[in-house]
Amino acid sequence: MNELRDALIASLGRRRYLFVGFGVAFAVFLILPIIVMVPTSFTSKEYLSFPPVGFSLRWYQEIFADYTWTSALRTSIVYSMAGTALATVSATLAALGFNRLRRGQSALNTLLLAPIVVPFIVYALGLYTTLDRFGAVGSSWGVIIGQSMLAFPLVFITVLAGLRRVDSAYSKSAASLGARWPRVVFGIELRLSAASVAAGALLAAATCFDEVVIALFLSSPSRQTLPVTIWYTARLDLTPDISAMATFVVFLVMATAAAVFIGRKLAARWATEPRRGVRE
Amino acid sequence: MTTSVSIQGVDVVLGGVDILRQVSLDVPSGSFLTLLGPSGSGKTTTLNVVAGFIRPTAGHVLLGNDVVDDVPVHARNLGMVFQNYALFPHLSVGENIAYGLRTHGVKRKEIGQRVDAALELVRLDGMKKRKVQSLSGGQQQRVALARAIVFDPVALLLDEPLSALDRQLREAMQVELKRLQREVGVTTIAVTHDQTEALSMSDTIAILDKGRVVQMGTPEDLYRRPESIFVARFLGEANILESNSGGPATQFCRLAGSGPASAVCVRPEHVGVRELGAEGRLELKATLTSRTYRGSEWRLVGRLEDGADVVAIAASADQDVASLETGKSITFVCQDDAVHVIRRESVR
Repeated sequence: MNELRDALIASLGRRRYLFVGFGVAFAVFLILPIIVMVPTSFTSKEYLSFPPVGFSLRWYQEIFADYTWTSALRTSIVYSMAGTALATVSATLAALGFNRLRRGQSALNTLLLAPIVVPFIVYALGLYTTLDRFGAVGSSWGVIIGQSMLAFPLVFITVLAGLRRVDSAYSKSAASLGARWPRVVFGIELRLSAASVAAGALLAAATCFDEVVIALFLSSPSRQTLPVTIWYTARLDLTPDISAMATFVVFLVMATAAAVFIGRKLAARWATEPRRGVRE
Repeated sequence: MTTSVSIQGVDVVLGGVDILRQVSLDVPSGSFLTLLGPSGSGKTTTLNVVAGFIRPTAGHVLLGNDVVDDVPVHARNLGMVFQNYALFPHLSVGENIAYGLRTHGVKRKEIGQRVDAALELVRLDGMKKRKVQSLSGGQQQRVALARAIVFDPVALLLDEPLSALDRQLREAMQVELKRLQREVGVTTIAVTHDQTEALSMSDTIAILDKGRVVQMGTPEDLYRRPESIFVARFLGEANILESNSGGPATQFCRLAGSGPASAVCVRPEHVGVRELGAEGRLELKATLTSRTYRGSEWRLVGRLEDGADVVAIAASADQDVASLETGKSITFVCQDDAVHVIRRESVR
C-alpha cells in the first residue's frame, strides 16, 4: 500500500500540489458555510453580519427564552425520534422479508426506493391530498409518517446491505440446532447486522430532523419544526437568532456523533478484551 | 436417541435441471456414511435433502421409521457441521454449544452440565468463556462438533467438515472425528471430495456422479472391487486396461479372465516391476518413462507398445527398482487376485 502511494507521488511530481490544493479548496467550500455561520451567532448587534461585531451570548439567551424557538426545537426532536423509530422498524422488517424473497426482488426494490427518486415536492403534495381526505392535515402524525417514508429507503438500503453480508450458513446452522424462524431472524440475522440497523437509524434521524418540504405542507401553524421555523424567520429578516439556533443544532449533532464514536470505541475495546492474554 | 437414516428414490429438480436422480441410501443406526464425488455430483444436495433445506421433487426421507418429508429443519433434530463451521460470532464458545439446548428447552442447570460434558468430549475443557474468533481452526471445528452433538440429535450431518483445515491437522481430525463418532454412537452422514478422508473415516461410502449413486459399499469393497471405471479412477490411482484396445492389454485382459468387451483394473501398488519377463503369469512389456522418488515409495510409469501408460508403486527399499533407469525395457507383473474385472456395461 505504501509502495503504491510512493509510486503515485513520484509519478505526479510537482503536480501533486495541484491535487492537494484542489482537495483542500473543495473541503473548505463544503465546510465554509458552517464556519461562517458560527461566529455570526456571537454578535452583540441586532443584525447578521460577517465578520461579527463584538461578542455576546445574548442571542443564545434569546432563543432559549423564546417559545417559538424552544417549541420548534422540541417538536423537531420529538418528530424526528418518532419518524426514526417508524422508519427503522418498518424498513428493517422490510429488509428482513426482502432478503428471503426468491423472486421479484428487482421490481420490489424499485418500488421501495421510490421515495428517493420521486421529487419530494410531488410526494409532499400527494401526501397532503391524501391526508386531507381524512382531515389529518396539520396533525403531528401526518408529518411524522411523511418524514419517515422519506427516510425509509435509506434505512432499507443500509440494513439490506448488512443482512447480505451475514453468511446464510449462520441461519441454516441455527435452524438445524432447532431454532424456529423468529429466533433465526431476530436472534441471528438481525443480531449480526445490528450495526447496519444503527447506521440506518442515524441516517433516518438526520433525514427527519432536516426535512422541510413535508413539514411545510403538513404541519399546523401552532406546531412547527425547527427547519420550518428557520425558514419562516429567515424570510422576514436574517437575524442572529437564526444562526444561534443553527449553531446550537450543529453542536448537538457533533456531540451526538462524538458520543457514538466514543461509544463504539469503548464497545470494540470491551469486545476484544477477553481475547488478550488467553490467546496461545 | 440416534436412529437410522434412509433416503428413498429422491429426485431433485432445480430450475429444470436434474440435480439428483433416484438417489436411495440406507444408513443403519450408529454407522458412518460418506457421500463422495466430484463437485457438482449432488453430494451436498443429498445432505441438504436429509437436513430439510431442500425439498425433494420426488421420493422420501426417513429418520428411523418416520417419514420426515413435511418436517421442517428445526424439528428434524439433526446435528449439522458446516464447511466453515458457522459458529455464531456474537456468542462465546459455551453459548454456541448451549444454543441447541436452549432451543430445545433444556433447563438452565442441565445446560451448564451438558455444555461442560460436550467440551470435555471434544477436549476443549476450560474454553467455555472464550470468543470463537480467538480459537484456531481445529478448535473451531471441535466447537462446531460439540454444538452439533450436545443436544442428542438423531443423526449428525457433516458438510465437508475438514476441508478448511491444513493437511496435517486434517489427518489428526479424521482420527478424532471417528473416535468421537464411535464414542457417541451417532448415525453420521458426511460429504467430502477427499477420498483419503472418506476411506479412513467411513463404514460405508456412496460414490455419486451426475446426481446418481454409482456405487455404495465398504471402503475396502469400493477400492478393491470398483464396478465402473469412474469409481476405479475416482478412488485412488488405477491402471485401467481395456480388452478391446487391440494392444498388449488385450492379451492381458483375456488371461485375467475378462470377457471380450470389458476392462480390468489393477492398483499401482499391486503391480510389480522386473527387468526381464519373469514368474508372473500376467505380464506386460513396457518402456520405463519415468521414475519418481517419493520418500516411502517409488512411482514408476511405463509405456506399453500401443502408447498406453501403466503406473506401478514400489517400496523405496526395493533395490531392483533403485537400479532401473528410464528408457529401459521392463516387465510389469501382477498376481491374479490383484486384477479386478469391470464388466462392459458399466465401463462407460
